[in-house]
Amino acid sequence: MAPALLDYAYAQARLRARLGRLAGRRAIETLAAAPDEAGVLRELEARGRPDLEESVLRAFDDVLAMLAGAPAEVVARYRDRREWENVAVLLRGAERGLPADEVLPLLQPVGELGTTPAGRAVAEAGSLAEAVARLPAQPYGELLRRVVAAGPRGAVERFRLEAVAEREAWERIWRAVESLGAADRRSAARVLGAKLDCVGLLRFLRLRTEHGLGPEELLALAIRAGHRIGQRERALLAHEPPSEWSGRLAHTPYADALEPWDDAVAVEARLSRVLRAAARRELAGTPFRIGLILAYLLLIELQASDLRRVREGRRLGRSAEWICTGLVSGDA
Amino acid sequence: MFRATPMERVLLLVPRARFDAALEVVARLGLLHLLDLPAREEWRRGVRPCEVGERRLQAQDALRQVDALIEFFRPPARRPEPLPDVDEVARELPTWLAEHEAIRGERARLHDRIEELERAHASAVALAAAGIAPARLAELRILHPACGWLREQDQPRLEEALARMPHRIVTAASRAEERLLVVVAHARDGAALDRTLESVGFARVWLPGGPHQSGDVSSLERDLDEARRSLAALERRFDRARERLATPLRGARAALGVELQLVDACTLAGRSESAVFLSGWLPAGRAGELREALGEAIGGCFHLRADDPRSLASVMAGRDAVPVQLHNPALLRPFERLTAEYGVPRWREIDPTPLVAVSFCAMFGLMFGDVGQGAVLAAAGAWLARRRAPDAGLLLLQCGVASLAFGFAYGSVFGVEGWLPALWLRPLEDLPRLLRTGAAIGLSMISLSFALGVLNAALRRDWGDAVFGIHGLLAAAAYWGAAAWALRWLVTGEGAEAAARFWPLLMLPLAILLGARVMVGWRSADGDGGSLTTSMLQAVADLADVVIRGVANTVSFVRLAAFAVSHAGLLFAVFALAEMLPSSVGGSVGRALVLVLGNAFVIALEGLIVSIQGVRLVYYEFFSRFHEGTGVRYQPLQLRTSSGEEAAR
Repeated sequence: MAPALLDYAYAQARLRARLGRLAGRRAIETLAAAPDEAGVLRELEARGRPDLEESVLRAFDDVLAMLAGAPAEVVARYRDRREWENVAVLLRGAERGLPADEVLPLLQPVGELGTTPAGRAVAEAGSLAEAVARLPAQPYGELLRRVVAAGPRGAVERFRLEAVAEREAWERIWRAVESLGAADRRSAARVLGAKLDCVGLLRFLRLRTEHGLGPEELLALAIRAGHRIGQRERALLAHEPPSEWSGRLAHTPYADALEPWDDAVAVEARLSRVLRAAARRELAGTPFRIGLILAYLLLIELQASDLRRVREGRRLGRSAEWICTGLVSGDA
Repeated sequence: MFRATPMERVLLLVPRARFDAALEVVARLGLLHLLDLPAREEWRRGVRPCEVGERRLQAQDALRQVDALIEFFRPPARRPEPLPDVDEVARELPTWLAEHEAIRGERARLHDRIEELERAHASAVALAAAGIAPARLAELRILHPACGWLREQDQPRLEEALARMPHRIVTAASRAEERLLVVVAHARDGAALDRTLESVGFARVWLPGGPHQSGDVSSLERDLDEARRSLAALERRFDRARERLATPLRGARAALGVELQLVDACTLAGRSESAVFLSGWLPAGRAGELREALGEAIGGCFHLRADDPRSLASVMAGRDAVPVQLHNPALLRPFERLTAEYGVPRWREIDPTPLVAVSFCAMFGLMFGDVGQGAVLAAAGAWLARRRAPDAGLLLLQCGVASLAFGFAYGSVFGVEGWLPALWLRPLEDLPRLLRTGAAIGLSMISLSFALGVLNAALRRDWGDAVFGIHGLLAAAAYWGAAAWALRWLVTGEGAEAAARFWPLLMLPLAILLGARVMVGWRSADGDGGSLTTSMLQAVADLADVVIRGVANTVSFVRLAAFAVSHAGLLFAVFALAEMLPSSVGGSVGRALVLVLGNAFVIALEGLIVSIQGVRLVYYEFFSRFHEGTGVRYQPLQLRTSSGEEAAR
């Protein structure tokens, strides 16, 4: 057997079997019809997914156990990108002066911050700058300390630190993708590259509309990786108004998702559907590539995001219709 | 020997106000193996658990803070005596924390300052070498300059971001993956440039004479010297604090450790409205010591009752386990650890430690018989026993002596077989005899194991198990019948002829055992609708297991002969290697080296293998019929400080 086939034969057989267990649109809509949040939680527990974040991380761990070498590194970094969310939680806690015991339960069990006392040390920092100073050097500490050193003294902006950490998280994954073999790299680009495109588009939209950043800053904070969004597209996104984006990106599958552009949540849901379609396409293609693994993980994450929406919707007393409008999942 | 220390159960009743003092006495005395009273069925309705949540949280919190202080100051080890009071620690802790925070904060500030100044100094030197004067940059009005270090990998990002902004980037210097850049843009784009630089991680250098500072390189050097002097003064202050806080911090650590142990012990007590109950086991006859110590500490305000376990219905019915404390002479104590590793015997069962000691040493010696190597092991054991690890040393010493004794029996000194006459046999020359010896030891050990199984069942008053158990008297009789036939065969060579005579000895006990087990199985399954066939199948499977395991376990001891031969064979190989060397002076040295290293290798490798085999034979073949190791080990509450010594409060 060819090496790639050997690498992925076991994993793809296992994952194919698991794909059938993903909740379909109908199952999620049934969940959305639960009377309240407690009902949703009961249903989730009955289906073996009481903790959504934990079940996603478990899926990553299961996949990691099936892989080795460069593909495992890509999946591990994809999993550990969640550590930037831990950084964001800790920085927010430090900025608001929250006690460590309130912040620590919000950390996800990934990376040094989520699994070792390093997280507590940062959570106990008295200020944003001190929190940055206490971060472990890798993967974000050294980089964020440079950002603090680069800024005006004593006036570090949290959103900028978060944006830099997030950018680094995604680019770290891309650096791992670049160490794959050519065929695997192309396969990863179709799935993970599409994910990075969507994340990048949303970042442009949010940094522009919520923080009012100028084109140079947008480009400095942009994720320089992806499948269809390259340097030319990034320049367009930075310099053209969002109303023009859909027309200027007509050659990409994201054009329809960007119109209308003024509701970021709706844009995110539409982009997620594009992503889901890319993952489904990859699953229908050659099975002995890393794309299949990444597509599976992407679908798991999208499913978790749908279930989270159902739970949140019920907690806030939204209608089943409102919940279902924002769902990404199709029929399993 | 053979029997564990007799125990008695005590129940202590004290007023709530005196409970802390009483518990401290109990812990200091280190005699009482506590029972979880609130969890016990008969107490559940009458008492509630003591509430210690808040006290535990406070102690844990303080302990965490003290640990952080110890981690920071790393004070020298001190033996705090007497331990400070926990309340005193709580009062002092804020002062220590304030001192820690002051030193830590100032140290971080000075380190940052020195790093910044060093960076600025290095940058100023690099800029000067590139012909760029920071003072000239400061004079620019129409242009907005920025000077700093950027990672090489981030420069394309910066260039992409500034693609449509008129600008100029000058590389002044390079070092490991970093570049010192001067970026200049139009003054009207200054704010956008600064924010962009911030987002790409441009570590800005604030140069003397540059846009944001005044002064020159020499003033920078003066600042650097001053910062370094301040840091040195701070380090002296740190050293003084470290010395001053050594005893208080170590004392606080120990006191809080003790406090947490007491809090844990509290959870095992049950409380009513006005009193607290504490129950546990202690060695029989020592309740008086506890009574006396309590009397001294809290006067007569307590009630203590001691019960013999044989008078307790729950113990006799097997619902309560009596903890077991093994007690053997000093020479046998190291073997207690071998027994305990497997598990301690149940109350009233035989303590197998003396048998383990004798059999393990004998088997070790048989497999590893050599006068020289045994002497080396014994000497190493004696050294270890006196210096570092008494138990391990004593064990090694005894194994060494056994090896030495069998060395005389084999006539082997460091593998040389000509120096001493063999008092018994030479392993490589009389293998059949050695194999027969292994089998005979197997027969003896398994027979003893059956006998002890019956005895243990009798001591537990479990008569059914003693007679009809899978390792009971009938199974033992069948084994002995088979053993007698095997012995006869080994001695006289009459196999088939003798079998007819020994057949009833083997089959009769097995037939009775089969019948009994079928009846018992059928009757006990009757209520559940079990059938006679199922019981028969079960009984037949049990008997097959008895027979197969009996044979397998006995044959397993033949490995004793195999390892004795392997030991001699390995030494033979060492000598063969040495003989291959030439007979020159160099060859003689080489030969001596091969012999020494070869012996060392055999001692290390064979010693390890043989001890593993010895443990295996004891655990799996010998213990399996009489020693389940499911007893509860006697573990009295004893206060221990973090360094392991008993707390002196």
